[in-house]
Amino acid sequence: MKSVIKNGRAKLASAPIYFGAAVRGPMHKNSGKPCEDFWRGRSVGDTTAISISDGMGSKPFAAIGARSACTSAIRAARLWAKATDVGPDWVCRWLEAQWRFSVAPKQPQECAATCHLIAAHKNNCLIYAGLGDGMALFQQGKKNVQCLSTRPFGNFANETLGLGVDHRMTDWYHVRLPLSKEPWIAVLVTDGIADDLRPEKLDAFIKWLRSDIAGKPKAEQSTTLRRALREWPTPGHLDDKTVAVILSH
Amino acid sequence: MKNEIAMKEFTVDQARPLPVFLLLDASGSMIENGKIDALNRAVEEMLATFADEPDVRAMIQIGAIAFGGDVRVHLSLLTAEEAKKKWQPLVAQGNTPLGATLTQLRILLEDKKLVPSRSYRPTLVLVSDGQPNDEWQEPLKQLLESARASKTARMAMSIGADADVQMLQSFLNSPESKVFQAHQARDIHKFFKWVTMSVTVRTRSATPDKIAPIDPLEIDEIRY
Repeated sequence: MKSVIKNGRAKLASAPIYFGAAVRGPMHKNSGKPCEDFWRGRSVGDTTAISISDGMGSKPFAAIGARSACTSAIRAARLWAKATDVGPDWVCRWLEAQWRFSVAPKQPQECAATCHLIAAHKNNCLIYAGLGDGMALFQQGKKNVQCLSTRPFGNFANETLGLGVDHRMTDWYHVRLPLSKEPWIAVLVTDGIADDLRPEKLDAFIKWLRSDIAGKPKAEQSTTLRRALREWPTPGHLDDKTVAVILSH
Repeated sequence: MKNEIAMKEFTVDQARPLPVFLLLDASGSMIENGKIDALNRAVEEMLATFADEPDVRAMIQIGAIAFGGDVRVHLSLLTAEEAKKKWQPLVAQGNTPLGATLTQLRILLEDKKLVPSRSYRPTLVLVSDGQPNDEWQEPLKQLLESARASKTARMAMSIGADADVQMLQSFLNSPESKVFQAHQARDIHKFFKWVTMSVTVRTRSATPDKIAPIDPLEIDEIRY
């Protein structure tokens, strides 16, 4: 990542790269239902953002909820880009309100979905905000992979918080990180991926995304990732699977 | 294919576990009327069925806590295949320390190394033929209020006329769930058929975390 010095502050010379893929899991394939995971990525002005969402299968409009969660998250990131001094907790509040507008007139509880957002600003800072199952990973330089999200202790598979589920603002996880000149990568995954990752091998997962996927020409990154997710090797896996990646140029 | 090989390095190579915890009364009164023998046979048969079940959606794991005189982990949480090999028949002795059993169960459930977060909701099975002889109300309250135990599927069987059905109903903690009442030794076998079916239905289901209530009183209507 190249940086230039402007007004005494380091700035990213070029926007980060982003890509992602969401694939339907065997459970939805067998039942003829659509994929209820979504991802979005946008580079707008000084900010590049990725978001993922997993619609809650028991809700009738889960897919709409998940799609709206991703678009609302990107809109929230766009707003944050204009006022990066604002903390990520306020991004969560704005995102919640925006999501409710975007699913209306449907009832929020009929559209329940998780939501995770990462936004990187040219001003060398990154924010993460997440609600519900899923995982956010971050690595800078050769440091250990850092998990930005945590999972409530009581949860078993497929039990989650989310937009449209009774919760408080304190249920959101959010963090703001400075970005140095070293190369960095941030990754969001839904629980269809997170639950099957070996905790001691997260560095291998990141390395695979960097070398085997991000190393491809831009036009091939998402299609290569989608193809790989369809070959997911864990026996008996059922869920939809989504990965979104943002990394320094 | 290249990606599949690479992905195997960082992905788990087993289906999600579906843990089943058996809380088995092995107090001295279980010797009467062949109850302990019937219980041992029924558990053995259940383990054999689970071991033959293909791990299509979920990998069944079994653990057992025996309470009779003292409380002991009779079978640590193992795959059905391993549990079938390691199972030793229970020996009935002593009194009924249920409170300590419930505390032991809560500790096991909260052990994330033993029961990882990717597990499907565990099934808890409580079998008793008598009255607890230690303080059990507070340990039960703590168990049912714990984040993990509150999400489990629970089943209970009373054996004989002396069993504390009220206590077993409190363990189920749901008006829709009913305690299976075994009046004869052969009813014990019937109950474990019900447990077996309830678990295997989930492992074959497209949604193993959904727990469909099956009325134990309609068990004779079920085709195996």
